[in-house]
Amino acid sequence: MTAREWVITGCVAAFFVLKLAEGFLALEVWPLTNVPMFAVRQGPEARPVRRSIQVRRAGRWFEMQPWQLGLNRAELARRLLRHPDPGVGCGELLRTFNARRLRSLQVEEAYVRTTIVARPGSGDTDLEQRFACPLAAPP
Amino acid sequence: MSRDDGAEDGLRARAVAAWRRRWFPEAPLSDLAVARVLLVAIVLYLNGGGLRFSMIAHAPPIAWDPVAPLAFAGVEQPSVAIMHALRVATNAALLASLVGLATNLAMACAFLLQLFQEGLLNSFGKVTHSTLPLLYAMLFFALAPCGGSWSLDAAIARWCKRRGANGSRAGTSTPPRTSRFARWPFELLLVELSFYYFDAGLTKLVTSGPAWADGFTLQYSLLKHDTPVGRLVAPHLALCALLSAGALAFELLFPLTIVFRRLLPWFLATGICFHLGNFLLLDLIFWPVMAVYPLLVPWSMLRRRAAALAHRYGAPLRARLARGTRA
Repeated sequence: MTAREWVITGCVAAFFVLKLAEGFLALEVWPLTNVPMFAVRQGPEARPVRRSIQVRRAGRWFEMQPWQLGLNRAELARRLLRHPDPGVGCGELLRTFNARRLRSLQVEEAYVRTTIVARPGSGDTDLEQRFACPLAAPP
Repeated sequence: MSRDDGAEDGLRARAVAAWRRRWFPEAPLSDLAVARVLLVAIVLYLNGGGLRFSMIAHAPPIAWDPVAPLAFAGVEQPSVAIMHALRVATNAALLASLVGLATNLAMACAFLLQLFQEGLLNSFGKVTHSTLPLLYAMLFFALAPCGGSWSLDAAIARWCKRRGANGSRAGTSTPPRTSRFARWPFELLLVELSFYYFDAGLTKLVTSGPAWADGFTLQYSLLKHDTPVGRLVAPHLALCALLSAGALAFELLFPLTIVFRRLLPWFLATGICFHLGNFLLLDLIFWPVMAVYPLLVPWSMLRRRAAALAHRYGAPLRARLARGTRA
């Protein structure tokens, strides 16, 4: 083996060790990952929750998309989950949103709609809740 | 020297020879060149000319939550001007890599810039991993002779050699078409892809055990993401369990392709179905992971096989056509 081959072999061995460590030691510090998406089991008792931000602008109600707030769907969901009341996180985001826009383009009123979805065959029904988003800064 | 020592030496020599055959065979540089062009094209498309990263400067500052390496380095949310400069530099490095100008340096710069911007993009509360295999591919290619063929570097080297040959009648040898260092990036990329899937499966087993595949977890995700196809599948728990078990098996068994290379096409085909299924059922498209697949295709071997097929079936066909024309 040449010196260059030995160097590459050493790097390959180190890479193998790193990849094994990521998986077996559950390393989750970007860019290292054990790819934990969907890893947590959700038993039959767990009910999925859908969240959306409904806003009123120029007198019209519509669902605000995550990209309009400069976030993707997962980032928005994470943001709303930071506080037990999702309206708090929503209010923070919309205050920033309003601060960067002309008055005519600002959101006038908003709430987070959460739907707790029933499992098929469970006999339950979907449960909807609303959490107001405070657009005025807290004192 | 005893007989045992001799046997041990022989075994070691055979292991080293097998390792060299696998990782350092004489391999065509054109494979690396095709993969380089594909990789850069994929990254340029992924970046959308830099638009993908432009949201970093526009995202609400309260959402800024830097990933550990950026937090450690004290990086703050960048301004529009900084993101613009990063975009220009990244595009320049990627284009230089594409045409093969100072290829390794350009690829290394593109990798570092891309890594930094991916870090920024993951600094808003949710970390995604879909582009990691592409980042590793950029790193491996930056360290390999990926500019040895189909590149301005190679053209300049040929021109210099020809010029030298005209002047001194020396150095008339043609540039090499193969290299012993043209194979390892593909092997290592396969290792990365294999462990990417394997770690996903392992984490599911370690976190939740085999019960993860009982169908309830997939049903939960289907109901949460609420796609049209997901709505059809969610009421059928047995189907959810079957799909979960299939996904788990695919993820855990993918590393077999490192040892049994014949399995690779089958696993890649299954991987395409797996990712398309995720898209239809969960609205999740991990296309940058799938984009790594064509980099693993042995293009020169495919070309040889296509040429052999054309030779085998083309000649009789041409003869038959010629007879038909004469008649």
